[in-house]
Amino acid sequence: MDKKKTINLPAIILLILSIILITLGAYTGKVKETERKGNALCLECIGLG
Amino acid sequence: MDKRRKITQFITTLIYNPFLTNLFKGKLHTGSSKGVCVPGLNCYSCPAAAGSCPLGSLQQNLGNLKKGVNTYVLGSILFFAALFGRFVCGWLCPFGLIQELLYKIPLPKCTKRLKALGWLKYVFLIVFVIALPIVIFAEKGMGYPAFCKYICPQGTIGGLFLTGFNETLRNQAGLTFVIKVIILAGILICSAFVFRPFCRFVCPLGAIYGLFNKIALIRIKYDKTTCTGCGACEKVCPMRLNPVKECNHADCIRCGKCIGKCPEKSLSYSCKR
Repeated sequence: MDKKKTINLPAIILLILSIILITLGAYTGKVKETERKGNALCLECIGLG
Repeated sequence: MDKRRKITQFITTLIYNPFLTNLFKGKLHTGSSKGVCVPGLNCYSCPAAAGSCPLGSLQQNLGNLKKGVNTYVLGSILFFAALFGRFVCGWLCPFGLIQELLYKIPLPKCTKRLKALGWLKYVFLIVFVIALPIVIFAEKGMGYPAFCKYICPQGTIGGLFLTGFNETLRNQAGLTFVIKVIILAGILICSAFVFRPFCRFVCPLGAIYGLFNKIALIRIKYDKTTCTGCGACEKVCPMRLNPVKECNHADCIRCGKCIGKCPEKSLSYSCKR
């Protein structure tokens, strides 16, 4: 007998939540902030800071 | 399956690091693509990197909370975790690929599970990724990415290229850089004897993704009605797990070796529970 497959509801909810967070971040300028940090040489990241 | 996975890993590494000529110029790529958080561990200070490391971005935010919580970085990490779990580790991480290539060197291999050491990555996550940036920010007004600064071997690879081809940066290399190079060398040497030691015992990003393995959309499905208990999956698992008893364990990197080996097709990738 085939086991009934159920939709992965927790994952769907978390994915929706993550999209909301990403959209909120984009709206509040956090993508630009991340871009700025990524474009600046992070001396700590390469062991120099 | 494994050939497909290797090809995917190589392509992913090139997508994350397309600016290969920068490796020999001692400079970073700068552009709007740095606003994109890639799923795997890939330092944004690697000269060839196109995007941002989610772990580094998270630490940068925690070390400077006066600007508010970066919901974009948190949302990105949650998105990858909820969608993939540790599938990212098995298929989409350049440093995982490097370790796997070194493991192919014909040397004696450690086949022990070393289960207790698996908890270490949660210590690195809590102490270096979360606590230290916040505490240092609270004390000094500006924190720094402690995991990146003291431990991350992937960033050290970028650092080696930058210091190798940039005299100004080379003159700044001090004790911290030397220690990081020693850590990188230790992990790379260990990789020849132990399968993915960094992923199993150190990586905080893998620790985060592993917490979501049981609920991630992409998961491994086990059909107990067809399983004969032959143990072929356990023998082939490189993370030393028992895929039958520990299906979607936090240490499972979803490499698919168990799926390919099962003679009864009892294991498969699935998006449903």
